[in-house]
Amino acid sequence: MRRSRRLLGILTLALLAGCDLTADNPGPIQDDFLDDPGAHSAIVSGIELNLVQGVNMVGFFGSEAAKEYTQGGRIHPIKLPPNPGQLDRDEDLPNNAWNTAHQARWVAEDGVRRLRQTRDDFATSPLAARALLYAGYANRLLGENMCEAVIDESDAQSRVVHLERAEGYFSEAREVAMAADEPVLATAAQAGRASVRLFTGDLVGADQDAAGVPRDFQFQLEFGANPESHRNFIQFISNNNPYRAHSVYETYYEGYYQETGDPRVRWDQDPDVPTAEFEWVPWYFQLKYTEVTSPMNLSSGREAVLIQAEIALEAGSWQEAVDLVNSLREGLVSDHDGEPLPLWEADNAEEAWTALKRERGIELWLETRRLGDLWRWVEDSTPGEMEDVSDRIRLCIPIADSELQANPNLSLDHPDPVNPLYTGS
Amino acid sequence: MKRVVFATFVLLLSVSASPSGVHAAPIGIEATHDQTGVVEGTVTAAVTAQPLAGAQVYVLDSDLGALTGSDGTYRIENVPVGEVTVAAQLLGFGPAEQTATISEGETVTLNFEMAEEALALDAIVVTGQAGQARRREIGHSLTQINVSDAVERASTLEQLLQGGAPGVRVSFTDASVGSGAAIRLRGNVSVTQGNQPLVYIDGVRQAADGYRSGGNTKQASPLDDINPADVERMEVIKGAAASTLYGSEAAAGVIQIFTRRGGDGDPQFTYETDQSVSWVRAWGSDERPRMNMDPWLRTAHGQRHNLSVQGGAERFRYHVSGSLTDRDGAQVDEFENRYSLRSNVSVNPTESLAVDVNSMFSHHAFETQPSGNALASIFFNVYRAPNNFVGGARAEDPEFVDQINLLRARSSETTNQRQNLGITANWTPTDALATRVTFGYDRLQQDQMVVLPFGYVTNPDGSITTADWHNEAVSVDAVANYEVGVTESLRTTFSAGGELVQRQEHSMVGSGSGLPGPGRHTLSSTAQQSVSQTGLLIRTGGLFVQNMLDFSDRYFITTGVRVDGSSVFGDDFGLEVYPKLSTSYIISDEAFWPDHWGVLQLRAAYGFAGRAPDAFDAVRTWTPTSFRDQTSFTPSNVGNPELGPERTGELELGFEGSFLDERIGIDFTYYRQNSTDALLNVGQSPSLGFGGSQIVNVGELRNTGFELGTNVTLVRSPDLAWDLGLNVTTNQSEILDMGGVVSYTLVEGQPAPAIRGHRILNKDEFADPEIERDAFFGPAEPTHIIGLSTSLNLPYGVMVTARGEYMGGHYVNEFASNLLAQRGPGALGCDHAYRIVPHGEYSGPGDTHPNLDQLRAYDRALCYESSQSAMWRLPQDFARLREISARAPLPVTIPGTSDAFVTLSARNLARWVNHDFYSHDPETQGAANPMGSLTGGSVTDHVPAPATITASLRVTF
Repeated sequence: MRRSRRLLGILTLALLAGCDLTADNPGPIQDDFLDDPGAHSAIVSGIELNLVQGVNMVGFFGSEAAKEYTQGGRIHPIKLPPNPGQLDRDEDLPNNAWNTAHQARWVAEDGVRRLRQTRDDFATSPLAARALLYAGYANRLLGENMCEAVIDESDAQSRVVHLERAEGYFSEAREVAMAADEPVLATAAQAGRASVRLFTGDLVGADQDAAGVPRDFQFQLEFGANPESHRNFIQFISNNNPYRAHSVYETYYEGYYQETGDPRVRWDQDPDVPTAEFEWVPWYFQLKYTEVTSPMNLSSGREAVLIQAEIALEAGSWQEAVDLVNSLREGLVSDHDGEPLPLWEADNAEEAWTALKRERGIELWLETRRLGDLWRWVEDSTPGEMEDVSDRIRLCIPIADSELQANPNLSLDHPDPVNPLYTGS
Repeated sequence: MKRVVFATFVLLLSVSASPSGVHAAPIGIEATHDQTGVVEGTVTAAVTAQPLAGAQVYVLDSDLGALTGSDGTYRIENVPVGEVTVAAQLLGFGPAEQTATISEGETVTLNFEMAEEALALDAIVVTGQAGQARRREIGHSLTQINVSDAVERASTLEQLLQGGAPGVRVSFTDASVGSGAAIRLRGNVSVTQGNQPLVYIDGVRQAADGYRSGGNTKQASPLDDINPADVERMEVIKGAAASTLYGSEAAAGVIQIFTRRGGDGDPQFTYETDQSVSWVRAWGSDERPRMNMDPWLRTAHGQRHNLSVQGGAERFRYHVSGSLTDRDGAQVDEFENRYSLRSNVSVNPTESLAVDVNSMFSHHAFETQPSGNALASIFFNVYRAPNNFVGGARAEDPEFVDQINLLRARSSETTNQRQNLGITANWTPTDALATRVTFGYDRLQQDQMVVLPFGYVTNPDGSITTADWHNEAVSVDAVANYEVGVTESLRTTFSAGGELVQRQEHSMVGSGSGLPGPGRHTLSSTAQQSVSQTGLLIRTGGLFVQNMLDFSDRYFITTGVRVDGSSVFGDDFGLEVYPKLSTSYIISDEAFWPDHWGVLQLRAAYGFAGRAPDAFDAVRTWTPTSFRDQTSFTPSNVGNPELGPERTGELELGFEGSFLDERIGIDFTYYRQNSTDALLNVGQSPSLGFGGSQIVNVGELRNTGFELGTNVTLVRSPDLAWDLGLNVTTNQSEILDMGGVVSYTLVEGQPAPAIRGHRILNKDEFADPEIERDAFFGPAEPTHIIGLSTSLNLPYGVMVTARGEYMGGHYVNEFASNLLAQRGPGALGCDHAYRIVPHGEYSGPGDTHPNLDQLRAYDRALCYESSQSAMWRLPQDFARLREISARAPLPVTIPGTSDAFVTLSARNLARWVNHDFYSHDPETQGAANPMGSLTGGSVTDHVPAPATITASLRVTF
């Protein structure tokens, strides 16, 4: 008996000594695991996905503020802004756009940091080039659309900070892509850098970069079919089912397309479903994106031409600018009659600016770029006509309540900038 | 540090199992009892002379014993010849002993008359103790609920708990079959973690608070898997002062369930059958008593059959039972069936070793309709009509019923299976040393399938969702008690033990949309499929030591401490320490206390327990997602390496006494709980990438209140006994510190949580409403609960019991009625206003309707399309008759049986609500998983719990 009890004690000891209180859980991926090179491909894919979600939310709120579309209904689970298009800090508006866009920036930069620390071949890695490129685009998204920059819980800074970071990432992406023999990525980085240099006023650098981008070049953001958050949101909410929340009604593009049939701003209507979810909004649905997976341009050779045109205008060469703008219309035919699109006519710099602003709106329609353009042109007091934005309280997305409440360097009484052209009360 | 806990635990176990320092009982000395006799008799109540069932009758200093049957009789065989002492004990009665001389082959009759005892100081209790303890020794409150003696024919244990004890709140949120209840002991102790008490079944920890809920299905409770007919009693300890030894999961209290044991003697069979009818009583206004739901409600039949056998021999006892339940829901298309098997076997291989093996299997299948704000919910589409999802007919339109019936093509089948196994070895090698080791295994398994058929009204393409979920807990706990008599009047009992619990959860959900056509299909047939799988593993270990000092059997001081480690704690957190101190003083045992003053125990206890965070809260994690057919990582949880459990400290002061010859029993407890390091969701700056929130130990909450339980015997005579019970509970919660976290309903100085919204300042004026925005109305949890109960013992063994409950002082967000006012045909409680100004004819302040001068500001604010959801904050006070039951022995003897009883029970026959409750039913406040979340908050659109009448027959043979 004594022996058997001793054996029992030893067995118990052996049984429990093998246990500990740590648990290797399945499911969510623990942070350390991402340092493994085998995880890097998924990191970069995650960077792309977060950029998709940032672009979707900024596009949803910002494009309406920029009068690229009119909201036609409510979208679950996003609450309807009480003043659509006004970019009020109230409600969910900036929380959704701010949160997703900042997550896109942070995830991209964190991915770059992780790859830099854990890959010996970082300088020649296609994955690294891709991560750097998306870090550039994520910063550009913020720099063009947010009123102010907040980096890793910093105080509010000029949005230029984002644009400068974007330029840095694009530059490094270009170098790494070239070393990795990834010419498409290298060109995209160059095109991206051209776009942010235009914003920061480095016109020489922008011109050089833009000149090196082939006119037929496109670098696009790809979307997924499922779940909803992976889709091209503008396309998804345009559809009859389930939301019918997007209409071209009362935008510049409604009349412009009726007049010209320019396929770049194609829209249509359905006699069986004449109105959007809001019955006071006729349902004119966009056809730029026809599938939920339709890609969206991040950079293109055609945008590079517009950059060159704007630089020409800044330099006073308005005729050269008009020629460049019109060169984009050549070769396009009307949806209505198959005839070539009419060219812009300009007799002076102001009319040339008008042509540029209109063409840039058409070319980059629903690509989350218009709000930044409008704000930039208003701030710079550039001549020429564009959408009447005097009814817009602001032309940028303010710092969200979620940031103001959680960030120790900010508070809820942080002032939001106001559109200087705003004439409302 | 976590390994330190284990090393100590291992050491402790090896000591308790090793031979050194202890004296093993000699093996093989059990008597062969060649010369034996029989003791038999009847146990009755001393005053009423009614037979007492379930009393333990046993021969002292032996393993011989028996339980009385429902007729109060017992029989113990193989009693060795000579003088023996036979004792009888039963919860609620004082112990009784008799001595008899046994002669070979003869039968001695010993009848016991047991005196009712309002306060049984020498009754043995287990819960919250290191081992067993006498009630006089414990310094905290402990409620015992004697289930085996209950007259009521409850279908679940939760129903028996409802109104059954002070400080216990049990809420059923709707009428659906299969729905479990939220149980709260002394309110909410956490605002982010579960508040359901920890449950032990015969010492084995239950794996989870609730089954999974998903796809608009109801959350079933694991407590309901336990057949009430198998349960002898429940012990409830309500807070940290008592639950310290349970550690990091026990701040919300502990409920321990003790199932029936076998007794010596021949097999004794008991068959019970319940036949019930349920229906939903009107819960609306005169105009809409059932909110137009009549075509989809019904009088539902249910039945339950239970067969058990118990018996045993000298060293072997058993209780085996099987149960079968088949019940229709009071809502159409809903039903459940359930069967369960239980086997409790006790073996005493030696004089010093007892082994109990308890096992249970249950199978519960049910079909329910969705409720709440769901596209496919019948109730939602009915009460919101014409603004619904199925055609938009009004309730009075002829096509209305056909339109709603389109929803019934949906099916939602759930099957829950439960396996519970407990093996407990009690080894008592000497009178001084007692050890116990328990191995427990509990597994909850759920399979679910929700089908929207091809052509379904809300989803013409059809869809299938399947879910496979299981949750299992493996636990080992060991304890050793060593009792030493230091002097003649000073005794000390030192206890040490440990517990290791490993819990695993697995869930896989498959969804498919786009069925190929009509007919039955599987997930594989769908056009688009997706699957999600989750899993978690949690390991928690704790060690405890306790010492109880006993002076003169009337002064008791208990000190103890438990140290916990857990895989859910952050890497930098280390271990959590929970100390406790309690004292008990039997003042009535003092020489100066005259006997006729009765019995009085004074108690004080202070202790700590915790509430651990979830499996992944402490670690930084990323979510793997498929994006364009590639794995992608996106941020999930920020992580907090310093994360630890919430820590609740509780002070209990109280007394328990019986007076006037046991006619009055009083149990009073004052409690004050402080939860520090409360886990709150702290918002994260989006610029740091993860956004959302992270659980952080930054808050502090407080709960205070008292519990008064009284039982008064108004009449006590052989022909009639009448008892009246009164339970009063108060609870005031307050948030002391939010750690800088900004929340709308969790605010420092306010209850946790507070009901907050827009208050109408000029309710009764005939004017436009004046509104105070974001006002605090009060708590979501009731501040006072009053329970009234009575029992009548009538001639011929007839017993009648009744129990009612009132809750008040709390408020609710009335989400459902706001929907009706804004988007539906008008709110239920506004029908009086619509008779003055019809719904749809008032547009808000400034309206010039001719009858407006007859419309109160309150009605203008709440009842029309201009209503805002924040205005719908209503007082939730209500009272309900929970049950009324009568039991009587059959006046005729059924051949072959020893006794038979019939019982008639009714539940939920009457209710009262506050005049200002413009709403549905105050108990239909819901959450998708009411067991896990912070209770209180919103009245949601559910049909309330039905009324039920149950007729029952029980025969023993």
